[in-house]
Amino acid sequence: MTAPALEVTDLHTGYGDLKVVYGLSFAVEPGKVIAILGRNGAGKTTALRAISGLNPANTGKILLDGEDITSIPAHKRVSKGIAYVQEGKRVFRQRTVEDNLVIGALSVKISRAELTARIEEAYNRFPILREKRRDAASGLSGGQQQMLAIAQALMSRPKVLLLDEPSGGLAPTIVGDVLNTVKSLVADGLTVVLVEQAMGFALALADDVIVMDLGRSVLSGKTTDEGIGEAIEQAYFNRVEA
Amino acid sequence: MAKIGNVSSVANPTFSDRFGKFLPIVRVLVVVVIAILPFIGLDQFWTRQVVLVALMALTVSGLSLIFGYAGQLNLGQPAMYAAGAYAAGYFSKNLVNDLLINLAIGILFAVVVGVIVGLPGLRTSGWSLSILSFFLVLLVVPVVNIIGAPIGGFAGLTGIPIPAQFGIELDNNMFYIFVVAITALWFFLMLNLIKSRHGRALLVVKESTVLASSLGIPPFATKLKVYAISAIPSGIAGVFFAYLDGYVAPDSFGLNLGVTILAALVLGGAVSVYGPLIGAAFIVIVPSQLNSFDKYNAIVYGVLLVASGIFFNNGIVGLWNWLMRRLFKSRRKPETDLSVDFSEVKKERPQLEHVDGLRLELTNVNKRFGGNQALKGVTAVAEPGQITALIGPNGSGKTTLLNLISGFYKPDEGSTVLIGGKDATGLPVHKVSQLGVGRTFQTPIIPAGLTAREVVAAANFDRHRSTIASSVLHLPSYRRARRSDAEVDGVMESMGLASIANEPASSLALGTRRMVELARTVAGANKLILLDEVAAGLDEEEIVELGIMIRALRDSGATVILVEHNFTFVQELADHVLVLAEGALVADGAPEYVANHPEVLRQYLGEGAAVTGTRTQKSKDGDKK
Amino acid sequence: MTTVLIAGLATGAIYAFIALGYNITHLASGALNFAHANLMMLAVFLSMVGLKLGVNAIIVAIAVAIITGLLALIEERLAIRLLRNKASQSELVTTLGVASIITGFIVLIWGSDPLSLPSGSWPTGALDLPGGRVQISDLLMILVILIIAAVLILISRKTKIGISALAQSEDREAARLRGVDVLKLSMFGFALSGVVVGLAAIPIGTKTLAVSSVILTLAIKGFVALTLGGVGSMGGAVVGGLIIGLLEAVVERYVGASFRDIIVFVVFLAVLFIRPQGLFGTVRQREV
Repeated sequence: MTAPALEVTDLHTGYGDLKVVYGLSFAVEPGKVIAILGRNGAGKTTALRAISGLNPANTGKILLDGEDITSIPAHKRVSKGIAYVQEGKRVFRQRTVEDNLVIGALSVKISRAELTARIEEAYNRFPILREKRRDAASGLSGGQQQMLAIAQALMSRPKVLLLDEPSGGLAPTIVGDVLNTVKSLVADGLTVVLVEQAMGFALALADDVIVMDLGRSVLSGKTTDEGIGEAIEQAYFNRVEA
Repeated sequence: MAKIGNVSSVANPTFSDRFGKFLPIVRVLVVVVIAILPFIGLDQFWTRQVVLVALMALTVSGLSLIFGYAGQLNLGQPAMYAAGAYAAGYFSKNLVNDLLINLAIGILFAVVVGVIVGLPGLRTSGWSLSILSFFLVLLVVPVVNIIGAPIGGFAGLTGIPIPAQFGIELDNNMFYIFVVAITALWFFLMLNLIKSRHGRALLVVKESTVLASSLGIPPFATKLKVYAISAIPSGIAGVFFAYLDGYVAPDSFGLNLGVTILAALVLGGAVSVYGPLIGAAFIVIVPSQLNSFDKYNAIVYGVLLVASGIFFNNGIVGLWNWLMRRLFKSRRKPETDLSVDFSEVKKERPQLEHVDGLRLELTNVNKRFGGNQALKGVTAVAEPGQITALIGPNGSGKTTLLNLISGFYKPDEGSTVLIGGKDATGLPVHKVSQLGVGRTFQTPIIPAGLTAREVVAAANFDRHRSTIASSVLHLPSYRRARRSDAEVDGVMESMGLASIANEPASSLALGTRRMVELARTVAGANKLILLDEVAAGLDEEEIVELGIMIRALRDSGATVILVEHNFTFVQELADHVLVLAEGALVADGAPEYVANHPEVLRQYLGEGAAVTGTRTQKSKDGDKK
Repeated sequence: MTTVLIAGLATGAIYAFIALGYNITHLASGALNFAHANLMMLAVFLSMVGLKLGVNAIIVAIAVAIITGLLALIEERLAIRLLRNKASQSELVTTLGVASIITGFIVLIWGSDPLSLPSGSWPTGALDLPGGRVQISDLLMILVILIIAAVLILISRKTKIGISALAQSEDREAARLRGVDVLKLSMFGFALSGVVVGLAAIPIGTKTLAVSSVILTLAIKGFVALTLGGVGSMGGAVVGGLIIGLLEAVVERYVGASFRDIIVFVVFLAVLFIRPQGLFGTVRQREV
């Protein structure tokens, strides 16, 4: 068995005094996709924030390719090979598309030539961005912004990509495009941690799945497991009513 | 119903609870003692010092009100001070020399100047506001020059007569008594103001204008009132200043004075009534006792200002409160978040006061943000006495719609929003709230400096109005308002929150914060209630309690709108469900109808729904009722 | 008329310079440094000391730049980095505190009377142009400040650190996620503002003289220039400053000295009401 690309052990995190995530643990092998499902407020985004370094981990360990990155600040984790695409198609709207790509490479020391090469690659993968390279990112449609956000994150050639609700607020056909893009990235060897509320999207992509509720992992398994669909639904929707 | 409790404010509750009864008598005694000091041996030098402390304390107190409580860093006190001084100086010299009359005139002029700063201050915030107010101080000299001879111009206004009252000239000691008495009066009124709901309203406005307007507190009008009121003590101080030496010079009102006032405030404690007195005492007395202090005062004040950002938490008053908390320590461990264990709470549905629910009618509601059409022609109705759930995937526009109903967004042309039959389309937030609309927020907005009870009591701000004057003077409408505050205890008790009522709201865990916000809508007897993802982050017991309260709200007759993501929770609770996707309404009907609607299933599960044969029905066990 | 115009542009250039300083720290860290004008005046005093000792002007400029750069760095660590909470204008209060401390030291060491830089330190003399006589030192100072502005614009657009700052000022969190070390960037911004102040001290000090009483006025008017031009825009800072300077000069000459500050106040009010984002600033979408 290969060493996990990302291993999270007993993660406790939150916002200052407000505790949100309690004892989350999971591991994902290189080139695989793990989906984290759960209701709003379950702590999925908070977990990603801790893995990316935006929120401190109160306790627990985060290992990237075997290296302990738990105490490394967010901006340094990027150069270690982990990139976080936040929810909400978050790009730098006042900057041009090309500037956004340049920003994506700020964490790595590469030559001018290498930077240009990577930008070309991004345009090859997302042709619409080439068309709009000099436009401000605010002029792009929602789907295009999502593509730009992903392209930007890829500029640092991460080993692990944290994707937070990439389908959010997008029309179904565009969601399909995003899905295919991520599929091809995974085929090229990228490891993905995917947070989603749209279960179908997540399950179409993922090898492993976790359901979070109230900050804890209440279910984990493989998407190929027998009866996983019903089990997820139970964990996902099951609440005690008055 | 619980006993009527003392609605405590930012002073540490345990100390006031123990000694509270004696405080008013002690205060009056202290003032009387200070007033008679000259007659029992206080020399001229120290008499003057007390007057100077009083003057400084008044001005600092004004800054405390506008900055400490309302959160607006208005550095224009020297300008208002100047207005009061010049007005009184001119009038007493040329028109009428009557201390009380000139006080009124000085206050008037100071308030006018205060409002001049306040009006642009409504539209700006932060640095722009502060620099604008600071700039006003710079204008004192040019304006004095332009007015010129009548007020003495650059050389200053001389020949201000000895103060007189009712024709009798006041000697030094009589003037001293006047100063002490009026300063004491101001501080007593400040105390009443701060402890009243207006003081709490200020803290709400300071924390979040979003929260304030959703509670019916008009942010602009409130801020303007505070600008006017906080100018009063500076005006009073200016008048006394003019009489003190019979001379007013324009260079007494410079930017350096502004820095000194701020330094005195942070030293004494910005969010406190006594802080200004303490800070003023230090700033006036210490330099006069140390010989070459003058050379160093700018440095010392600077260090105080820097330290206030790094170390202080409310200056000397803050230090005192911290000490008091250590001495009268409460038993709980500071690390754990305060929360209520709802398994202990009785699960009966409380009987709430009946309200006439407001019917909500949305017709063709459209909302565009730049290139994004967030809402597309939404037409729906929510009836009183029903729970209407608004569901949809993230990005579907549910929160936009809720915020639009609240009044935070104005709908595009052609949209109509009717609340209780009234056209509420495009109404500002506080006006919508005043119709009887209450709401909770996805992330509870909890103002700093308020206890849980005060947060819940904020609902009453609009329900039982009492003017600032009546609060400050304890008139009957204030007492009626106090009684309605007492009902708050009953609400908190019925929701199981009585145990944390006196705790600072910011120390509460997320689930308890949500329940406190919900308690606020209950206490407000709102007729249209908007709940924004109120179940998120709650544990099982809290969700049970939540369900009970929501049903109780419905049974009281209110129109309840529940924005939720958890479909099963919604199914159990809702009478009527609206499903939004990409800004448009895709389903509208009873929960069972919606649960089997193919479009809903597709939107919720997206592409690949067929992969695992998922459904959105409850599990087969049927163990839920 | 030309005399008035050039004098106005010169004063305006000083306002522009202060506005540029505000921009530097704002882009790098989101913080505005009220003590910037104080640092500038301190640099003037230090330059005066160096020049009086007979040291070559260029060496003085570099030495002072290093000193004020370090002081600005210390300010960042104390007054900005250590802030307990970012509520209610804490930054304005602490930087106002630093401003007060610097002024206090200046007065303590050198007193409050205006002092001038030793003659010979900077080209003097006058030029006869159509419309009036202008000071060469004024023209040179305007040139120096325009060059500094141009360099700053280049840095912000074309260098890695400049783009990091632009990213940070738009979305600090997202910038962190893309590798921007926001803490280092903040230190760099303050240090840069201190260095720039040191380098420009001699030309500016020739015009303003070394005196503490004008500092707060410069700080305030510099902020007006910043607002007029638009926070975050270097070009805007220059335009804003020059406009204010010109306006002041014209009003002072043709209306009256007492109306000068009042007119600037009115302009400030007008900008805040009519176009709060300034001439070249951007409007942010309000979020609930």
